[in-house]
Amino acid sequence: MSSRTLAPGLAKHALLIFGGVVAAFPFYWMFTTSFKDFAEAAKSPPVLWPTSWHPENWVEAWQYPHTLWANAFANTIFIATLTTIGEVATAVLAGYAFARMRFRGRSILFGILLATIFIPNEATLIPNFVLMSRRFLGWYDTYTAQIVPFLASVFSIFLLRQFFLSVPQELQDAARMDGAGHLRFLWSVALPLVRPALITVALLSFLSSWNAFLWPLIVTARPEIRPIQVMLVQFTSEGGSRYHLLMAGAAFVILPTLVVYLIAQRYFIDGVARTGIRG
Amino acid sequence: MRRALLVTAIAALLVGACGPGEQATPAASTDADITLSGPVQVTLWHNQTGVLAKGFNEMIADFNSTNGKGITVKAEDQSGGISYTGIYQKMLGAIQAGATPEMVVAVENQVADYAKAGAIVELDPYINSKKNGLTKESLADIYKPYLESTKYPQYGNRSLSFPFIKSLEVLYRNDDLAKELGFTALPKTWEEFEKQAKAAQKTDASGKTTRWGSSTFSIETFLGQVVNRGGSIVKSDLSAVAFDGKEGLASLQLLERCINDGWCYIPKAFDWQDRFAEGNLLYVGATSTSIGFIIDTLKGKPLNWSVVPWPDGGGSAKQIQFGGVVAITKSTPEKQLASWEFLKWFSDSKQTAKWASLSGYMPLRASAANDQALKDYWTRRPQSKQAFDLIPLSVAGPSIRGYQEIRSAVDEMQTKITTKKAKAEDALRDAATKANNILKDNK
Amino acid sequence: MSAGIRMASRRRRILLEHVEAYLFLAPALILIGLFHILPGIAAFVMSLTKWSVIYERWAWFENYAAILDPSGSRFGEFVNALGVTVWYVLLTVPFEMVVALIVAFVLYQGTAGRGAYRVVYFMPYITSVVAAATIFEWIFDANFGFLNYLLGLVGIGSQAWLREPRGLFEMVGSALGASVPESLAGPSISLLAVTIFTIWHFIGFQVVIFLAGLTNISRELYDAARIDGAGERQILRRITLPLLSPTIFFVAIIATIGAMRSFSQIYVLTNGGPLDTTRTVPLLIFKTFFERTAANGIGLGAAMSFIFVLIIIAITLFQFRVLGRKVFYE
Repeated sequence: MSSRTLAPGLAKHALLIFGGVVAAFPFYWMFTTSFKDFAEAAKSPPVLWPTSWHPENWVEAWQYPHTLWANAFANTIFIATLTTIGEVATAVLAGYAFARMRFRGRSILFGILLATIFIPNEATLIPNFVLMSRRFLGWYDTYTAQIVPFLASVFSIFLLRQFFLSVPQELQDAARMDGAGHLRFLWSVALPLVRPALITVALLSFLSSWNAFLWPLIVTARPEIRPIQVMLVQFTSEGGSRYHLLMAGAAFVILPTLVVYLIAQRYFIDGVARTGIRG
Repeated sequence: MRRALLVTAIAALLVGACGPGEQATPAASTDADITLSGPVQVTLWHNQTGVLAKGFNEMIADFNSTNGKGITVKAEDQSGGISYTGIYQKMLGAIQAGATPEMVVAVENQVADYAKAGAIVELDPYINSKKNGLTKESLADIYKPYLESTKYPQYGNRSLSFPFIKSLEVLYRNDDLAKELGFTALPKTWEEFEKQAKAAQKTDASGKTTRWGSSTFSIETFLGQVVNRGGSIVKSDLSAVAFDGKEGLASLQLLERCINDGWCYIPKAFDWQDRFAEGNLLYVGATSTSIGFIIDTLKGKPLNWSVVPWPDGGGSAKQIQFGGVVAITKSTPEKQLASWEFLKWFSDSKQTAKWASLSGYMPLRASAANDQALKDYWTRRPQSKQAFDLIPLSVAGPSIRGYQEIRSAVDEMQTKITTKKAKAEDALRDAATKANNILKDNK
Repeated sequence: MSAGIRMASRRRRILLEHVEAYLFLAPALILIGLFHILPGIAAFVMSLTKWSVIYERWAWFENYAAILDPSGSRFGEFVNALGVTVWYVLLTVPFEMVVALIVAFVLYQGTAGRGAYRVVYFMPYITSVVAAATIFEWIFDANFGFLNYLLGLVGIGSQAWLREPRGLFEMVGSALGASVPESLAGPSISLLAVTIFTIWHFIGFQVVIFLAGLTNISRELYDAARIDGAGERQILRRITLPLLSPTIFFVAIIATIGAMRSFSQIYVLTNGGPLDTTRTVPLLIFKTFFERTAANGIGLGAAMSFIFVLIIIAITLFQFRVLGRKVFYE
């Protein structure tokens, strides 16, 4: 590399590294703070690397009075798993229908579906809440209320439709010659072809279920059925300024998603890159 | 056409979802006089967290095993980390959802909102019931300001809630620091208070303040000061607020001066407790419930501190009291009575004394002072006794709809001063305008 | 005759295919209808009523009038919230887009470790807002926060960040010894803090989208241009930017709508305070619904959310007209 290209190359890397540090620093700060003792966490100037490590902080945060972390984790995993299965299933069926089936009203229905993105979430919060009441569905303060409303997602339908559109028509024609119906073709030909998209939809669905906060907060009353995000907020307001413990709590919530992300990052990023909605 | 029909149908459904807006109706006297037969379970939403929850659950367990009427109270912390606000939001939701608990802990004025939705049972029939109520003597034993706060002027002054976990706004003083500064006498007037607080300020070499005379004012410290100086919070006919008079201005200007002069500590949440425990705060105006938290923060560190009376600003009441009341929601006559039985039990001299010694909340009755357990507790914790002695000098805030938001307007006003966003006169005027609009909206 | 049978069987097949298609769609459509469309209609109906904790009476457009009446008490706070929302959009979207574009360009030009950078930049985006906000509250802490430490290193005094309602220009002005009038105080420091969090959280998303857009541009075009002797700057101006313009346009629209509707991060970080300086419209709607319920909060909140949607749609259309014209479609 000549010196003429070296300088911009270095500047380029400096820029990227700076950006990377900014992006990653909060995670670093969370982990290191969570292992400091109280005094060191609140030390000025800040201590970048703990002088002594205190893994017992994690235990203390986990066993903090009136937190039900284990319970909350079980709830979130349960809710997120069912939501993901349901969301993938409804999206596969609907996405396939919109992409590969001919029926009257297809474009109108698809248009209506896309238009729902414009319905203000803030406004539907209350009617949805009323819908959960005893007068209607009677789901207030249940797991059902945290799962069923999320079993279908316009985003996932849209994403899978795009993928099903790319399945070659010849394959479908061939399958029909062999006497295979839509369900057969979908199951044995189309689905394996769109496997990466399925993983993307599943991961993003799981992630958004994992990160759900507002709805579970208002629709649940019993602490035993609440998910981790609600638990974290409760924990942070009780933990006050004991930041070493708060950071341990944040780590509980972040760590699992971080691990899954680092393993399956390709699917996360590709999914977002392909549709650009969600967020 | 079809769409119009659909909209109408949905409207009808939703409208039907919640029934007509009825006012709280008096429960038929027969409801309050029935006899319980067979087991009843009732749920109570409360806000006791941390160490307090342990004692609270002990009390509940005690009631469940001893009431002899087959009543089981199921206590659930619904504060979601934001105490009364958390329960309030949950409760409004639960009213919409038709899934209210049988009993709910609330700040007095929040009950006025529940009553607007017709969700609340009037308690006068229960309190006065020959069979299940309280005797005259027993009622007179409960502190009057407490009972006053459970009567609602917008609902014909009827009792819509019952005192439960009461506190009052008190002044904490670091006695060691006061002695060090040479202030043996308590401040008699607000001027003296200011003089002492100002003298406590200390700065380090870089000019950063390291010791403060006082923390900034909580909402109740301000409102209490208005009352203390002889003013009132809301006009008696509820037509407008009254905290914007000369008493309010004097209180706010005191805050303004402490900010400008730098002797006020601006706390983040409850971290004034840390500063106080470190010995770097002379005075703090805060709820009496903080006594326990201060002790916790001290962690055995020797510090002489006490709860002292507020300076005398000339008003008949010296400070404000507030806290949790319990409202009983409309359910079945059995559950309503079971709930009342629990409240009655909880307010009994023995229980209220026990709860006070477990929690640091104020006892509801004067006779609790004779309780040996509470006496012992007060020997260990003289500050609680000091606070207790101030109850007769206290007054409650108005139990009206919108008061919570008026408090927010006061909070905002004080934030404007602590962040130097506005002058006291302007901030006070703006807050009053806002509060009057709130009163109007909640008519 | 056989033609008739064929017709009948064809018709049956079409009918069957229809039935099958609708069955495929039914679960998704029912769920979305029940939990999105129906509540949307219901919310509109609610906006036409006086509805406190419970329904009170039919009110036609009274709530809308109350919010939009300049002499009313609701108007001021709605306009304030709109103002905060606009500042929030202006502080986040352009900055995010420019930085994300630059980063995407640099990554695209075949930097070593591109995949690793992409992974790191995208990391904040997958983190829960609640948990990430907990970390940032710590970083923004007025007394012990890391950010104040950094500022101290370059000689700037500590800020109260999330609890500082004073305006950015006001603070800069007073640091320079000038007094800035209230009307020009600008967005509050607390809004700036929320903005910093937002940019950190969402910028990776834009980097990924831009990178995907760049990757879609055919290499042959570049090769052809180079053969024709075009310089790097010319390539950027004549090929890359025009071909990327649909992506830029798309991101601008999505990011603007997303920023206007931001809720969780503001709710967790400041809940609209201090002094309402971070109270964007969604936060105001939420507050109206849940904290002022007893004062017709549900009717007013619903009306507010529909006014807000109309504003969002208007802004989106405006973007389509102004930016959309500059988009180059292949």
